[in-house]
Amino acid sequence: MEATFEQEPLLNPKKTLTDVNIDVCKPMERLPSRSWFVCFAIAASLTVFGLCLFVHQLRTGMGVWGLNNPVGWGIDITNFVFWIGIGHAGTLISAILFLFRQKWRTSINRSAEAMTIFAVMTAGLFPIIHLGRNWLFFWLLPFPNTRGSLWVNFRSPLLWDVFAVSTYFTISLVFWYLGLIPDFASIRDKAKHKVRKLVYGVLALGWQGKQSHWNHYEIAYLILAGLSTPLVLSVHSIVSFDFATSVLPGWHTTIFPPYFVAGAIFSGFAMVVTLLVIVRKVFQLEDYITMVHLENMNKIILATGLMVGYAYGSEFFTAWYSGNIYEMFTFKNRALGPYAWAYWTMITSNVIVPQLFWFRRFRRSIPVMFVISLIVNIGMWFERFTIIVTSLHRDFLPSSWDMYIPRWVDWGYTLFSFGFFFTFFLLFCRFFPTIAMSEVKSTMHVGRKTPETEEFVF
Amino acid sequence: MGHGQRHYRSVKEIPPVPKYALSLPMRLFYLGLVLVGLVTFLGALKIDPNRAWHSYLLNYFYWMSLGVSGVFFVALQYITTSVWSTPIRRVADSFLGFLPVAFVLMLVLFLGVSHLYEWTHPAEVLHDSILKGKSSYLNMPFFVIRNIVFYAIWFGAAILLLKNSLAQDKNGDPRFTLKNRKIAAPFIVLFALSFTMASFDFLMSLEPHWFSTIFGVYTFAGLFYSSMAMMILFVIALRRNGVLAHVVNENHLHDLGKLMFAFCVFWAYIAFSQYMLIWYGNLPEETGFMIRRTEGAWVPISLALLFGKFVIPFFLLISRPAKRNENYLIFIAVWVLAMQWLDCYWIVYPVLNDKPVFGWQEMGMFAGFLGLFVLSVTWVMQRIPLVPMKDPRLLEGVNHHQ
Repeated sequence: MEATFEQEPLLNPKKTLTDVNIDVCKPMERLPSRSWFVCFAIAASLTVFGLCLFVHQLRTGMGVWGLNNPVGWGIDITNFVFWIGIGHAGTLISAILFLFRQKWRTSINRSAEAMTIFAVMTAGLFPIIHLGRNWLFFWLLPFPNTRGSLWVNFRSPLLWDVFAVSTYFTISLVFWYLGLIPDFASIRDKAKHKVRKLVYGVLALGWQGKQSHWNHYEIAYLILAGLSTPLVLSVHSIVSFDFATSVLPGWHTTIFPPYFVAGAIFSGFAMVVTLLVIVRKVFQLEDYITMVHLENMNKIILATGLMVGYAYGSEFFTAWYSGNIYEMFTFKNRALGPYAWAYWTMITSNVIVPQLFWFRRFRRSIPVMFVISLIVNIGMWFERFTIIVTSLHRDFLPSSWDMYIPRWVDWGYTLFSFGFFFTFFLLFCRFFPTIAMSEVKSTMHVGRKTPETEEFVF
Repeated sequence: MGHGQRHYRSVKEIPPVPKYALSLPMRLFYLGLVLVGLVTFLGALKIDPNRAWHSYLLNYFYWMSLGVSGVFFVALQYITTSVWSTPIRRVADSFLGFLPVAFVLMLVLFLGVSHLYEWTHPAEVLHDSILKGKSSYLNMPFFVIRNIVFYAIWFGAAILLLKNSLAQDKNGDPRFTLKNRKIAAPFIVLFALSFTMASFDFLMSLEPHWFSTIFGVYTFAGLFYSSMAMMILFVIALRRNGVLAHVVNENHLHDLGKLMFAFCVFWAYIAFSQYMLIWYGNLPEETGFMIRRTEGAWVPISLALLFGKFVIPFFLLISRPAKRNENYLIFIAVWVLAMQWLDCYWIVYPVLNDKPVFGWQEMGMFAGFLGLFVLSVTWVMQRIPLVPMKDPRLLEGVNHHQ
């Protein structure tokens, strides 16, 4: 094979600027298909089921969970950390990849950001569900009050979480909305129905596509990208502090912040791959979300998977190196104890399986990447489960050891979290453009030779 | 497009790149520095061998990191299929010249381990159950062997990457780029493991009871941060003496500056994570390390590190013009390199003394290592074309704009 260096076009080169608007808006302008309704019905029922569970929990008490005395955190916090992790790919794609001039981000950033927002919303429910007195959730916020002026504990990382996650959610939402403005205007201009025109017109905030509008837009986008970049790291770092500031073996270790961030990006990208493989097929967007995008995401999955593997190795080695018998016991217990099945699920799915992405053939195979992305998500769920449960169930005193066996409520809430997430995601697919039309247009020339020079455009 | 930046329509339009030569006076100057270093080391060994070896270790680790950072940077450019860095990549390639020198320096360091590492004293290990437990890792033969293997990995990859790139200079075959990409990817994995272990070996085991899982990431953050500073100094010097004048513009400097800024923040993030978690947990086996450095006479050094390595460069680098102005960048790069030295000092010296000491021993040996580094790197630079003229990505790289 002759090796060349022509940059592979990001989009199908036959597509024109008009095609972008037509193709991306198409799913929003027709009635949903039957399969959409089926999916939505399932997701919405799971959401309602979750509400019923919550009522059940309110009436009966926290005892409906399978939690017990040493294992006070179980699947509730597993789900919290899992969904927060999922929410990391979106802002990484929209902020960090933007600063790194990765133009391929344009086709995937819209749905990845949407996924981020819904994932953070899902995650945010779990600490509230997990509270003993859920109706007092607003006590998490520091505000002047009449409870003898009782303030939150600023020294607790759990409180830092409240700030970190809410900041992340706010900035992600603003960032997402900013990117949507020009696209809302396009939909408004295409709209035939009066109500549709009005709704999208209001959402577009009077966007006219003037030079000055674009100037402000670009500057605001760059500033938000700069502001969100540290947030990508801070949120999961602070989530990791929830564990690492304690003195529990297996939780207290210095590598936790970057390790959690790498894991979050890893699982976030896996979820983007899972979703986009479906979205591009169902909405016939294969010309816009091409093999280039999917392959690049798979490369990121491989890279972050290796970082996660590095952290597992570093932890295990240091547990031995430290000479601390409790630390070593925890790690032995993870690998060989009663939860070894969870540990080895995690190792297999997160460290071993993604190695297939070393091969270009697998990086570019839709079935392979779809399966791997699902496996990675399962693996990352079990990573959080392993960290939380194995460290808690056997601590310093053997007399207080116990097993955590999730009950139907625990699993029910997990199902609910997927239902809740997909309810929003499915609505998003119907009402919002799944691809950033205005941004994709700026990458249409990528990989085509400019006529007057020998240069390629990257 | 920056002002005065020329846009080339084809590679043929780029003026020929002159050969680089280190002038005789400069060569003598750096040779002089090497001599100063040698004399200082011998003198210091006579007066206070412990201090001499600690100063040696500090400088060894500092310069070894910079030496190996070159091949890491090159490999990173290949796997990210980077375009902008094509005209400056050979500068990073040239850092490999220091690796054989560093290897010899490491062999010399092996002679002084008993002055540095508690775990090399069998009598002490026997009475210490924790050290006894680690002795299957912390023992001299394994220590020597693995670190020799690390050099084989680093130098081997550096040579292979450069060789393929030089072969490409003859015929412009893109296959060499693909080959290098295949070398670069596994190298990065091996680099992460080897550099982590080297950091554990040379620095973390100075206090053999202490451990921190993030330590390898911490030293890596310092490596890349200081590497960008060193790259900036070399690129600006080569631009000024005409070698890179027509192929490097301020956008390249801007990108190097951005990376330096990013790693300024990344270092702070990693340093904070390590400090905060150890401070918060306050476990006796971990916290001793931080107490030694944040109490008494070491407070000013720790604060200097916080402000000097993070706060001040952060604000100095945040604006766009700052990253595009040569003189300003030179100032910050020198500052950052000084702070990287202070960071290594902060890790090594509290083991030697409960008060910070600084004198001719530290200055002289730094000068010696500096001389060796510049001489070995420029030795390579004089022997290779400093711009890969037939790299398939060169034209876009030279025309790089924001």
